[in-house]
Amino acid sequence: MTNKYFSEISLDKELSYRYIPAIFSVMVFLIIILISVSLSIGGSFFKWDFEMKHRYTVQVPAPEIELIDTLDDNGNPEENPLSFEKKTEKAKADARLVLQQTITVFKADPQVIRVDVVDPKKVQKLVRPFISTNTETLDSLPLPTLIEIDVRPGGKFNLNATLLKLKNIHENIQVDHQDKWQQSIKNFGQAIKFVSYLFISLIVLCLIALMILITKSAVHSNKKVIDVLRLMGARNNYIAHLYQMPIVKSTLIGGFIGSLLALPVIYGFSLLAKSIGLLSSESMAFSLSNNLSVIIATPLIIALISFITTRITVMRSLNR
Amino acid sequence: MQNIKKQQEIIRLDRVGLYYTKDTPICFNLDFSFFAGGFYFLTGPSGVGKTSLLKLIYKEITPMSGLVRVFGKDLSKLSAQELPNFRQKMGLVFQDCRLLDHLNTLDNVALPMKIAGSDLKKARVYAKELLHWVGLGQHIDAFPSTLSDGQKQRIGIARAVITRPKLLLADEPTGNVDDISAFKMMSLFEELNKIGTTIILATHNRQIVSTFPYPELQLYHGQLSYSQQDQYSMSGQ
Repeated sequence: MTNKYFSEISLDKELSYRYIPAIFSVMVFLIIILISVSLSIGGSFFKWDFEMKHRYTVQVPAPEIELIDTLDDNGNPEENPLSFEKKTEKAKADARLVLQQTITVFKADPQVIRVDVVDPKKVQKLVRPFISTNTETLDSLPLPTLIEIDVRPGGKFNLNATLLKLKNIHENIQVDHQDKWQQSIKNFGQAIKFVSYLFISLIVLCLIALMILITKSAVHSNKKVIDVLRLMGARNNYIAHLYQMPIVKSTLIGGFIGSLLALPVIYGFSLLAKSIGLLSSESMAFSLSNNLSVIIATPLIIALISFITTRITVMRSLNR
Repeated sequence: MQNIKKQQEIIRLDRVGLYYTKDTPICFNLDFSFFAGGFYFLTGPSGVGKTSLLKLIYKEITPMSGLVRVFGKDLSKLSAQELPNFRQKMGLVFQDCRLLDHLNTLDNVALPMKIAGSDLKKARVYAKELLHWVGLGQHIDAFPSTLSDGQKQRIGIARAVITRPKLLLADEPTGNVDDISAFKMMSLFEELNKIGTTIILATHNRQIVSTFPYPELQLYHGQLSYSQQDQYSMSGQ
């Protein structure tokens, strides 16, 4: 029975050639996981960095309730001291006024695009690990009111002018920018990305070295056939093509097996990241679509690298 | 007359030197011309260098001295890029057949056409015709390992002639075949020769050399000369 096509080079007996799909499936699997990790970290950090770069947190002091002080400013007993409840009410009213005035300052600024008062429960949640889990205790604490503000990206928000206005309202109002502490986390994220890319580069280098060895071995074992082909007038291009096609086919098979193996792992990681709050639903969809591109593109890129490596190796071997 | 002969030269050996060792030359200051459209028997004792002489012509080896010109080209100046085209104009029959074991008979024969860029279907049609001609029409799907030496040799011949080369170099093509097959091979070579292919056939088969009316070149002591019978007939002309 005559096949539709035939190849002058027989690679089926090459042991190293037969293992290409298995080796490439593992390598492509690792590459995809590493790229996926880098992309997820990079994506999250980018989004987070973008948000943080334009976000300020404003601390409005808690109501200043005097518990035992019934002296006037000169240290003399007050003539008509207010009762504790009245003092508390007054302090709370003052604080509300300060809060309202602070919000007004930001809302009046055209460079500010969002002003949100952080839910006090959320603030309590933030300090809970350091102070107490007791709700009553937390309720009684004079925690500041937090306001999150987002300024226009690329706008000219004048922080100093705003601070001056705020000082006129209350001298203890603070405005924090996240730049101070986020740099170390950004550096950590960059380090993880760098290590991932380093590993990807090492794997790709190993694949190239492996392809060179497999191809050289295949050229060596088919030396007699190559000699006959050259005596018949076969060009080096023609002979290189005979090696390229089966090797690329094998790497593609191995690559897509690796991709299929990586798919459930990435999906599982995304679900896990979502469940522990590292990814939102939107981010997860973004991450999966990004990863899908990686899953499809990686075997193709690896096959292209194999194609080029095989060609160069065969041509160099033949030119010697 | 001399000028016409020069124009028709297909191979020119110009003071060619090639040695096994210093004392055992294959060729020594060899000057010789083969003319286009000719049919030559190359004879000589075993080990005298007939195969090496053919290898010089298809540039598998290079001479230690002198020049080899084939198709008007000095082979020492032939670049690696030009070599494939040069070899595609030739048909080679090897003593050891050199068939590709993993290809069947049909594809072995079709191979030179595929290498030359012909359509594979067309190449297989020609290959099939040739295999019928050499008496192997029943074995087109057989692999070389299942065939006898004689059958392999016939496949080698079919492979060498499928592209209708300008020059056919055959090294002992009838060495492994019976007399009937050998004569059939010869008639195939004659057909090719009639359409213009120059043929140089290295052989030990005296019966073939004496039966067919083509000049016999004897390689001996590094020199190539017409046999006495041919010298006589040529001088008679």
